[in-house]
Amino acid sequence: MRLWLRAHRAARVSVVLVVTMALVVVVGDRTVPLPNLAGADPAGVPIALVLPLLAAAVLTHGVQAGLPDVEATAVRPAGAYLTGLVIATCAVSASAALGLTVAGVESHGFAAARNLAGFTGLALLGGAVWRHDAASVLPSAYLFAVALAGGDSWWAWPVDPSSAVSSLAAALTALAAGLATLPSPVRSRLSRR
Amino acid sequence: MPIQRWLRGSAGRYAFPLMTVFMFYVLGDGMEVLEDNWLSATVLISSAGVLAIGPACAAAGAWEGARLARGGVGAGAEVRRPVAILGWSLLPVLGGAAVSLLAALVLGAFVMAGVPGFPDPLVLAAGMIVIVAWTLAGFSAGRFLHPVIGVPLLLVGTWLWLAYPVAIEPFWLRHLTGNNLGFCCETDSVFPGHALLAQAALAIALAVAAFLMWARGRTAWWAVVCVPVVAAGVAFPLVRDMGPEAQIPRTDGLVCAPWEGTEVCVWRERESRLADAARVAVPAARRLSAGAKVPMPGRVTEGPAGGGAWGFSAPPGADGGEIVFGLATNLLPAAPPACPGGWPGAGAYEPVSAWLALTAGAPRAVVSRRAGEENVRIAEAVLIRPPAGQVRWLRDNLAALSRCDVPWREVTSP
Repeated sequence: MRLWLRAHRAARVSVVLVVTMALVVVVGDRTVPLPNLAGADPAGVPIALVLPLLAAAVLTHGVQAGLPDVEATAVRPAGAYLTGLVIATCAVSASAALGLTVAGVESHGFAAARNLAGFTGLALLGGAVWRHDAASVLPSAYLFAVALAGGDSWWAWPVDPSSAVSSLAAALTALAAGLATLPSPVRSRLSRR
Repeated sequence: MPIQRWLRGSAGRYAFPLMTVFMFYVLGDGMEVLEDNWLSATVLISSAGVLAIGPACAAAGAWEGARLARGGVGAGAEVRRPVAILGWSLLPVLGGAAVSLLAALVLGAFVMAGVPGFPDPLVLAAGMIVIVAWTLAGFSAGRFLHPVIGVPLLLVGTWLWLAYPVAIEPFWLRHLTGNNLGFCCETDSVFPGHALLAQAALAIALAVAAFLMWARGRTAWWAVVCVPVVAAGVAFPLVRDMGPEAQIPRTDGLVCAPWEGTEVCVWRERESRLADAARVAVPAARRLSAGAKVPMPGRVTEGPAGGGAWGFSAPPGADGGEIVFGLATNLLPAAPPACPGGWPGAGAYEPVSAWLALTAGAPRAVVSRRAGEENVRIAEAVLIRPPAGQVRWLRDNLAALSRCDVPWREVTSP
């Protein structure tokens, strides 16, 4: 397991997650000016909603690292490990962010954790559909497209506030779609029989 | 060189449409509110270009750098110089950026049709240097970062550097990025050349450090540290004292002609309005000179006033009344005094403006709209007094507007 964690850059993922959360606390509520079609929020996009893109990229890179061909034939449930790595990272960030938001430290905290989950899902999806090394292009493009388009619909989840339930659902759907592209943990377990 | 394969394999193929759409999006409504000078159009285009193209080129550069690193280009026997390899790899990306900027300039030419002049080459050059620098920075980063990490890191990082300083203090920081706020300048002001110099110095340093880092690897770490630090040392003094906006008063570019014994000067962009402006401004100056008992100016100009010259403005769309109002209120002190315990003369501003404008011959409706109906009534009450009393009232209130210890005199005062 230690070798698997090392191969999938678990330490780097953890460090980046901690640094991202720290940055969200320190500068998360600052906004970056960006014009948008809706013209509703001239102040721009809070940094807290953008930073998770970088954490999601590092997590996706961690997921893609290792030796997929070897893991596909491994006795151990490598697919379950990958799914577990993604879910554990998102869960840790969600727990910490929920605490920050509820405690009133950072109102965008939960939205940042939501975006980490959604961006990771989109990156896994993009990597599977297009090419692995271009995985993070899809969430990057989606973030900027949504920020430019503006609006508060469910599809604009990357720029919605923490309290938007439909945005949380959309991000979790993206995460689920991304996880579905990973080697199936069920199939891995069956293959061991 | 198999051109099609070369272009097909480049990230520029994907970056070009995105950066072009983003740039025209950023340009947005800005094109509809441009001033009547080419500098304002150039700054808007350069600003939108840097903000939209810079991050896209940096991300595409990161992709290209990673592609070459993955291909082991740097590890093989050297048959081409590093700059040639870099150039061929980035040419599609930078070519796309150049085409996008060119398209924006063509659009600008349509919008600015009829305005004399050309795009400002220095502003454009500074913007292009910034874009090239960030492209090289991305290319260099791509050598060390997997594209899954490098592409979003350069995209977001460059965007934050270009866009975020606009929202924070200190103000000098925003003048180093090359974003230039998207607005500058009114026709009576120009973009400060030292700010462009600072931006170019920092961008060139970034480009040099990025190139050395890419060509020589981690052994060139000193370049990444030293070159930008030296450039920052050069750039910082150039922008240290700048305020939130980057514009300074314009001093050249006037077109002058004599009119009834007075020289009238307008900005060269407004040369076609010179005769109309002179026909209104010179008689108004004569009336004002007689009413306020001040010497008739030798020159009425849109440029720097003072020393026997009165200022005025004849922007497109301004009618005669507004030109006269502007001429009259230019006699007021340019800035209020810094009074620590309050300014007792502040109330004089609008009534004196109204009196000056009415004396100069501005239509009552224009004065009422600009100074307020109540202040027009005060001015009219002064105007029915004897000329000597009017002049005394004016001089007392002009003193109140420039000093902290003189209260302003209302019309009821003796």
